[in-house]
Amino acid sequence: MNIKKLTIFAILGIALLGLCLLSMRYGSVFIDTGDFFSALLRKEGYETRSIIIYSLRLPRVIGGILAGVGLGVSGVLLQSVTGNKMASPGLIGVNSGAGFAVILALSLPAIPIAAIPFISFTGASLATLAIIAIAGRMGMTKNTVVLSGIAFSAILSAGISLLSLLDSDVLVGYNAFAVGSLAGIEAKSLTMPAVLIVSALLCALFAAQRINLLSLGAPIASSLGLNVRGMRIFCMLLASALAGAAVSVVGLLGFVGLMSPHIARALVGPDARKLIPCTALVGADLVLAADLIGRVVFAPGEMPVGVLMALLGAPFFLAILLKGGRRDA
Amino acid sequence: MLKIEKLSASYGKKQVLFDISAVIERGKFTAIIGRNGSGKSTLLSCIASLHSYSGKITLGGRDISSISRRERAKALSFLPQNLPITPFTVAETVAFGREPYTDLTGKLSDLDKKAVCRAIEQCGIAHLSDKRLGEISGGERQMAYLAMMMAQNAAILLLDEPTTYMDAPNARELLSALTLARDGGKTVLAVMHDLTQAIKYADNVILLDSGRPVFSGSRDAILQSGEIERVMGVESHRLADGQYVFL
Repeated sequence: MNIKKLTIFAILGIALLGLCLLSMRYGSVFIDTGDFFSALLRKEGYETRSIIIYSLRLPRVIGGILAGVGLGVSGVLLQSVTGNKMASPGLIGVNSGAGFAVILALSLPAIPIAAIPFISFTGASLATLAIIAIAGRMGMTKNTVVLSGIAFSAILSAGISLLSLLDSDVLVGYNAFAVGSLAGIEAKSLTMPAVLIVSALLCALFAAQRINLLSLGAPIASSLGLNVRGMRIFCMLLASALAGAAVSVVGLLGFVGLMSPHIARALVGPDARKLIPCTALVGADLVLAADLIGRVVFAPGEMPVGVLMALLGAPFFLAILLKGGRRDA
Repeated sequence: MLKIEKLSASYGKKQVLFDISAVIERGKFTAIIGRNGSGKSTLLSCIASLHSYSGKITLGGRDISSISRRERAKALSFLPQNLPITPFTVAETVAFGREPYTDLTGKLSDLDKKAVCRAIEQCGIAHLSDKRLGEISGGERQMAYLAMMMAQNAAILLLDEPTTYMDAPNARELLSALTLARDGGKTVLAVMHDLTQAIKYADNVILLDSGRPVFSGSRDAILQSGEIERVMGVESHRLADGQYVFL
């Protein structure tokens, strides 16, 4: 890795550290800078502030990092599988699958709210498996993955609309999940997503060179010894685990999976061996920055991170479209 | 030696190759020719294990379907007609050719790096090394992928219409590089749409007609047989320098 890229990684890493500290410093309870560092070091006399930092704000920070890493790296993997720079976790039914599962659970009596993260993860995973099965029957090419993803997601979205029409009360709970927020994250709910995201990230890093080969297209990649079909399924499963685990933490947080890979690609180039770790850092930085802005600017209340990401992400998405359109013209 | 025995292949219910048997001689340049839709590219895809088939393809006596992907990649390399424009540089693309020899992380050894440099120089694209594939011409891109093939260092090079999108000088350069590879002991098997080029550069020719093998043998033998003229509906003319043109 050259000096320029090392510098980029260092800057992203320092930015993440800074954002972590700022996220733990700022919140609805004001803690001044001196008190913050004393509380951070668990000094005597700062117990209350330590509890706020470690029990309330730290899980939120970790949740934000997990969401950014999970959704961002999921986006990179899906863009590699489909060869489509607009691909994001929504493409493999993560959003619609998780959303449908959550609204279905909310419609049923006796489903505890605490079970929502597990239900959303299960929904996301089942939707991805269904899309893999459908695309697999059509040869698992780039296009069949995209088309089966669009079709299956449309069915699930129709299901979400139907359930919300049948019982409008569920919409309140569903909207809180659908908007994407880091509020109220508890440390105990982070273990499973953390294990999944870290494991999937390591697998993706280990397979990065094989992921690079996918960009050469199936004939050349096969000729180089790659099991293209197997690799595509592997990447989709990893992407599902990453995004499903992230969604179970923060709800349907959009645009991170689209934006982070593009920003990372502009910074370190297309090589997945550098792109994946860079996207993980960019994703974590973006989510923490958006959450921090939402809390500082709108204090003492807060703007959910999903709303801010959409405000930032939608224009970004349009910019990509316009740039791509000019190039394709 | 690559041996094809009673090979048949279909697209859905439509059979496109019928009982093809041929021997691809080691260290020779063999051209597959035929009219559009005669099954040339499908035959090459079958040999590259990209298309399902019935029959048998053996490599040095071993059934090709029983060879692992990685081992097969060390023995056979394949270049399709349409080459992708990836965001990678020429040097990075050529380095992909070493994939069958690297570990899971894809880290290149000193030996791999030497092979990449050699392939880049062999194809005369050293000046393009740091350019991205999207920044170079179609002909240069073709040479970059040929260099990737050279870096792969397989004994058999399979190419599907390698000169289709190239102008005459670039096509000559690519075919000369293939001839050099042949002289270095490689076996070259290429689908070629340009009959003049095929007859000029190939040692052996396989002629297909509607998925059936009409002729398989040496260049001189096919010229004498008159099968090219009959199947392709062309006239051949021998020029003063001994070259053939087909009109």
